[in-house]
Amino acid sequence: MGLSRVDKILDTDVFEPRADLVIEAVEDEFLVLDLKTNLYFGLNELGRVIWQALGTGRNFGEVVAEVCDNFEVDEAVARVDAAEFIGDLIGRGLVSKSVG
Amino acid sequence: MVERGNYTCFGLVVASDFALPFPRVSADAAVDLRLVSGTVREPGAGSELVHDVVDWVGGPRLEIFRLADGGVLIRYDVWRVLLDHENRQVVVERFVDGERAGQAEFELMIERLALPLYVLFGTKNTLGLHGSAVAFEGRAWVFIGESGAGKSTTAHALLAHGGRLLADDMSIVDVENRVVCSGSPSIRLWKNSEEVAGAVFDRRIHAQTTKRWFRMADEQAVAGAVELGGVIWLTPTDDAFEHGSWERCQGRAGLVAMLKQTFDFTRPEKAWMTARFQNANRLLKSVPMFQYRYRRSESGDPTHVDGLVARLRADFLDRPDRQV
Repeated sequence: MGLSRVDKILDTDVFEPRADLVIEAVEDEFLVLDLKTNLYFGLNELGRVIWQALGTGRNFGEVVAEVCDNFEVDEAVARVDAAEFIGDLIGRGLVSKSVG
Repeated sequence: MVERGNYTCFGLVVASDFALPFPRVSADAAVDLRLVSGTVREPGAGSELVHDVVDWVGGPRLEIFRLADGGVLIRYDVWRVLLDHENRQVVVERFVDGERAGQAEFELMIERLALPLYVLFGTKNTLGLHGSAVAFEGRAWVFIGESGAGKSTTAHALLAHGGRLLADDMSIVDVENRVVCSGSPSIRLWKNSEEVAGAVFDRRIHAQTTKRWFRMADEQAVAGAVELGGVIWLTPTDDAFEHGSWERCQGRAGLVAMLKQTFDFTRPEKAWMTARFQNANRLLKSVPMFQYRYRRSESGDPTHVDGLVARLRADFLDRPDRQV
């Protein structure tokens, strides 16, 4: 189930990428291989920044701040973009909400 | 038919119990691998089926198992084949009798499956690219593309420009050393026997196709590894505007394009998936990959190859300053 609405995510929420994913940097982007399905998907620049932030254990509020630091966007826009992206990752089963 | 002899194929010196359609080498040559007739057991407990396909519509089934002891078992048509890297041997058993498969099918099975898979499973950091490779002016160029993209046709046409055949159908790249390993000196073409200059002999691949397998003369092929110059993605187009376009493939799009043309199993192990993915990325970072779009000639002649050679010369071969 994806998270499509910003108000479902709290700033303190932490989302963990699955362990069985292989990530390769290609130029300025990432390609991620899902070892469960042998399918791969690309991350654009925004996706790369969010993915890296999630991978270092940042919470949602910190992820949004990271997006604002890297792109010239308002916090409200960054919040929507980050929520949509994370929702998509959850929908694909690539990240899950950390418990506790 | 049993005929002991030493042959060279896929860069290996193979001491074989069977007659093979590959170049002979001296009986004194250091042997890398023995191809022997023997009993091959069915896959037992702990074996994992990693590949399961029907070779072509109405054709034989191909199954590949990773055995519990690390060996690899191929079950194909009337044969069982054990790839035993520990003892550097390939054991072949014909487990079904009858007329269904003969010497020609056996030789194709050894060339298409047993030997390339022996190399792929046994050598670290190798990548199998669906495509043909030619050594041209000191460097190897691998032609990849969808089925019917003209990979073999291009490779064959390059022989007339002074190229030498490295591999057809499957090109094995040693990513770490950035070289293309030689395959067998054969090529598959939609041509009649008399149309292929330099072929020693030829045969139809199987009953459902008119494509033929041509064994080229030794001097038209390379038996060793050659430094890789680049990968060329052949893309036929109907758009006259695109004809002859030559575009560097990089980044995510380049890697995705390369992965699509990389040999994979239907049920791969995680270690295999990871290695394939990472090796493709390493390869893309270490050598250039280009997409070459071309219009097929109405005659079916490989007229696009002149343009391709001109591109290679302009970008690399005539520019010693250009690092490949």
